[in-house]
Amino acid sequence: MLVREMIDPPKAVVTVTAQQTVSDAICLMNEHKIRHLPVVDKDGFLIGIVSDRDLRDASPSVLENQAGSRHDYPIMEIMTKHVITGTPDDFIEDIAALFHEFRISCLPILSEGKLYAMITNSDLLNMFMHITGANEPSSHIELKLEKHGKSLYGALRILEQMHIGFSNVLMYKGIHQDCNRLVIRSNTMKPDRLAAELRKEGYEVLWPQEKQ
Amino acid sequence: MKSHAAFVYGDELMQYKLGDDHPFNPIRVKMTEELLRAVGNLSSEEILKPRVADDTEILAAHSVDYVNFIKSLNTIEADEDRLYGYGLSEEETPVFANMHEAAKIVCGATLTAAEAVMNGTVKHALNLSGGLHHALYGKASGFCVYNDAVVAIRSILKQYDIKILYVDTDAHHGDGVQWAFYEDLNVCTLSIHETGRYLFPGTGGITERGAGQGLNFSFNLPVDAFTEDDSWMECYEQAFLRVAESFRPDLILTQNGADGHYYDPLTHLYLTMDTYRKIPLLAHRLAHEYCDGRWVALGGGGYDLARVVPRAWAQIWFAMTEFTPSDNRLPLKWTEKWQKYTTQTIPTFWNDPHDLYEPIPRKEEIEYKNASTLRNALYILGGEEIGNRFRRN
Repeated sequence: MLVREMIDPPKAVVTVTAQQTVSDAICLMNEHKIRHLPVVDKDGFLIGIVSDRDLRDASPSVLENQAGSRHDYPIMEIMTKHVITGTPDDFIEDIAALFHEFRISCLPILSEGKLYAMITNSDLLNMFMHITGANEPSSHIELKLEKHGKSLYGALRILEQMHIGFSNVLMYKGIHQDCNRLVIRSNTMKPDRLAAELRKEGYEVLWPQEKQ
Repeated sequence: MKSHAAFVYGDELMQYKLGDDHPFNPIRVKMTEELLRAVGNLSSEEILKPRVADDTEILAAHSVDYVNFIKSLNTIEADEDRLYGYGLSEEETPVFANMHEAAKIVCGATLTAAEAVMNGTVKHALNLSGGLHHALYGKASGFCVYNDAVVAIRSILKQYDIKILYVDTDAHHGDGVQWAFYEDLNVCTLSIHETGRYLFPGTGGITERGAGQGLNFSFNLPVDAFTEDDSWMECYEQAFLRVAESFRPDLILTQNGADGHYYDPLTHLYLTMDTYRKIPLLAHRLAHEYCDGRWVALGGGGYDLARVVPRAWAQIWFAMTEFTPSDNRLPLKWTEKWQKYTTQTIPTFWNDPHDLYEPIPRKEEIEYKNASTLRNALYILGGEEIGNRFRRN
């Protein structure tokens, strides 16, 4: 999945200019409940980024006399200029790797140099939920597939024969890599008969568990 | 040796053959050698006979267990499960006769090239049978049994205290070489390839930057499908220039897979001969700039045997010998000979026609994405501020 598919249509982005002040930026962050502000020039090109931490570092301590306040400092002085960015055509798995590798929590997405969108780590978590299908009404079926054992195809054929639809299929290597986990989000409120059929056909069904 | 460049070649290199219908075919090396002779740019004095690597040299790059298994295949038929565990399968990398010996000859050829450059016999050396960059420590992968580049680099580092820059322009990620030196700060790897999101082996993302002492000594540039010449060259040039500038190598080793061409059946980069002409020119220039000329070039992938590989690989030797063919057409006697062996039409000219393929509709977006990838990949080298770089008039 590409970034442009994940954020379609892109939301309007809150920005600041390099000439605005620290206190302007603090107000904007509070107002929009965000923690990063992209800094753009008059043509909308990205020239930097400020985080809530940058602003806190630039703010006087609450213990000090407020007279020495530097809230009128221009953003230009404190923004990060060397910024990791993405494009609308990046794969979201590549974007996720950038978050992890560079320990960032927000990534400006640029199209022809201009801001297209901002992606945060919670956007990625949201997308992860979407991919697992956990946010839709469905029942969780989980199978363990041994290396040379039963197949994904065989399991889905059983669903088809029983006329049970599904909204998501996720297969991944188990932590110990010795087998695959197969998670099916099936469109049934009564997954027990499906589980029973899968067991009858020789599948190891991890969920739903058999009633004692 | 009369020339300052050596071409490693011997018919025994034809033994590394995965099967008649397999896309990886050593005949490419022979075709290139004959093409260079036909154009009058290669003489017998410039040919270096490959030596055979010994088992100790192979074991510097691979596990005892794996090498013993490959050896055992000469006499014992292994079951499918064990073969699979060692990366061998009928479809991908099949077992062939005398595999251990054939793979040792390829490694020996790369050692021969590296030794000729390191002991000062020549400035540049070319082994087109080498570049088996996917072979891993304990298993075969992607048509590669033993990793000749890793074998040669280990052997050089044993004898010389130098820094080596490995640059891989195959359409596939140079994973085997990258992992071998992932924690080594004396070997810097740079691979530019079609993104692993689409293509084997799937690795080679920009976040693979090395580990431990070797952190920031691995660079990857995964470019998009349909990248085309201009954007590819921009990425290659910028990355190679900036990595060389920061790493300051004593020896450059290039892997010159020729599988990114439009005609290649396995990839989707849409490069033309224009790129394959320019790739070795930059390597040659930087070898002189940083390494007193020390440059070892290897082959690699390249699966359009008749139309692409010999033309593309000849360019490496042209760069090494600073030669430009006087005739824009390929020598007729060469074309006539090899045309008999293929159903495809061998091109008439060294360069490709301008209308080789229909224009790509998403060209701008692809170029933009690659420029972004390039910038992020070189992030740790410091750099320009954003904004200006992406501003277009």
